[in-house]
Amino acid sequence: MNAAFVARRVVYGLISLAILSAIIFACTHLLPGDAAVTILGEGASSEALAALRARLGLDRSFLAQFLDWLVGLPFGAFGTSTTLNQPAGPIIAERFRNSLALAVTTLGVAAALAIPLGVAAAARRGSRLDGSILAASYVGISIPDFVVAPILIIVLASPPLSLLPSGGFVPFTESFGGWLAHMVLPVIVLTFLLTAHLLRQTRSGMLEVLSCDYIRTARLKGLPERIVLWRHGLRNGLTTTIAVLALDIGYLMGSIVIVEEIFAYPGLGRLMVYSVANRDMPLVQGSALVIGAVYVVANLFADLAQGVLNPRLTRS
Amino acid sequence: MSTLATMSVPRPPRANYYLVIGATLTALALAVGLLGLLYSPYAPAKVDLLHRLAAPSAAHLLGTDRFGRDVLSRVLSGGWRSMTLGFGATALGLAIGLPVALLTGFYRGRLDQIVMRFVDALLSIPTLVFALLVIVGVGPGLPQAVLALGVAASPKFVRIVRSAVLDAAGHDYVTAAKARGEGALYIQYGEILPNVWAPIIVEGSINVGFALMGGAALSYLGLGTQPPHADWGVMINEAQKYISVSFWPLLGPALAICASVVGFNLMGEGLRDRLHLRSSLSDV
Repeated sequence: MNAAFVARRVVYGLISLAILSAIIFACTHLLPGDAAVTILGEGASSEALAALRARLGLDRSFLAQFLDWLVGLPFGAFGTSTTLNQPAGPIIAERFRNSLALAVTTLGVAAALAIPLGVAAAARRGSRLDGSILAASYVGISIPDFVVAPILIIVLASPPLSLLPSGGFVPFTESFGGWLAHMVLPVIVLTFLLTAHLLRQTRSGMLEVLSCDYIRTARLKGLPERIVLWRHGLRNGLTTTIAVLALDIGYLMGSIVIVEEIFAYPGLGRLMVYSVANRDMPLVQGSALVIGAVYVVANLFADLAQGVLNPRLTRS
Repeated sequence: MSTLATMSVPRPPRANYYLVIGATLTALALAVGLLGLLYSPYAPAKVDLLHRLAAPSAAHLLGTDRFGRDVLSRVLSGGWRSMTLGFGATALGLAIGLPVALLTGFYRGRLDQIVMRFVDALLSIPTLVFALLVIVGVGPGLPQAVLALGVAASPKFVRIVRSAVLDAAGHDYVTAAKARGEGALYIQYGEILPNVWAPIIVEGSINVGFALMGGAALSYLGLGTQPPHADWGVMINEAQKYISVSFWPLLGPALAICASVVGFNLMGEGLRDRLHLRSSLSDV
């Protein structure tokens, strides 16, 4: 892979991150609403409000506040949480680790389910199997996570079965089994939705590949269908799948907000909901930025991986 | 040889099941929303402490919730709020997205590149997270949730419509309009817009489903419709707290949401088939 391609992609990613941080900061500052009033309440005296604004730096210009925030970011300084009175950086880092555990597990399980099913559906396009896989994935996409989750809680986390905890969290260091048990239900809900989505994408990517001439050639020279499909087809279909996986990380980060809230799982999504409800701006900005950055970084890696799989893409 | 020969023969037209089922479910959801404005078997807020968390019966077709309120009445009377979230957010998203898409797709060049960088950055924020960012500024509530979901949907519309505009702008009728000396605004809205309505309708329909779901999610999180008012998301939130006691309060709103989301999605997919469009961003 040539260095210019890598450099171009990295710069592109950095530009995206810079724009992203500007947008997030603007959203939380240009919109009406005053953090000082939120913290002290409507009845606060104007002196107290002014003092708090000065302490939080809200009395300075928008640009000064933005630059201050931006410069701290590479060092993990996300400001100070206004409701918890602690530096936001470590809080966000801890929650991010918890969310990452959910996200990585979900991606692994979903990819392991969706890729074989998607290839199978594409190979038998129009068959009953294809139809049922597509229909099932449709249901998966259309049922909201906050409907799937209560149903799972009824079945798996309530009497008579009571197999799993219905919510909460145990740190990894305290008990591995407890940590794992609390991850199962959130991962199932997230996997359900992601698999449905990934499956549809893999199917359409494979359909495109299977209509190519070299697949016809492979069939005409008498290769077994199994080899045509899994060796010749999937290798190129994989390029699409990798791009889709990266896009799906964005999709996943969105679902995480709801799912973590339902299962009281202390991740980035639940932190986002908490900070929005309490208008804790440093936490809102930090968690939104990290969620967006995950997507940008995932896409950067997907671009690079595609460059490795298909070197033609690196020349332009 | 025989396979090659049959490939060129178009398949006989099949009934567009997606469109039929989708339109039926959509009509049903709309009917529920409209009916709820006019009629509900009980007052949606009527408390009946003697019949709390009751299973479905002739008196309460979908059972009652933890205050003995009739679930069917609440599904009906909350319907318009959920519909408002779906349609309102989509209309707002289009109102923001269309002019930007027409402008950038028509002029292209430097402006287009800059705007698209921003749109790409915005697309990296999940819709729900973007909506939460807006909510933080404007506060919780139904109109605020419509605003938040509309703003959050707009970058997607810009992307999709712009590519259709780029396509349309290369056609002779646009060159002809330019040669006639028509104004840029007329060409954008009078010539190009009427030719890109197909993807707009498809993506719009699908987005109504997603916005309805997003709106329910916001209400579920306590940031959309505010209790004691009900919409389907609020009802699911309330029902979830008591699911270990009774499953019935969850059933009504859950069915209503799923049916309408499936309806709008299928309708969009069916229309896409019918209008011979390729699938696009909505899959992402």
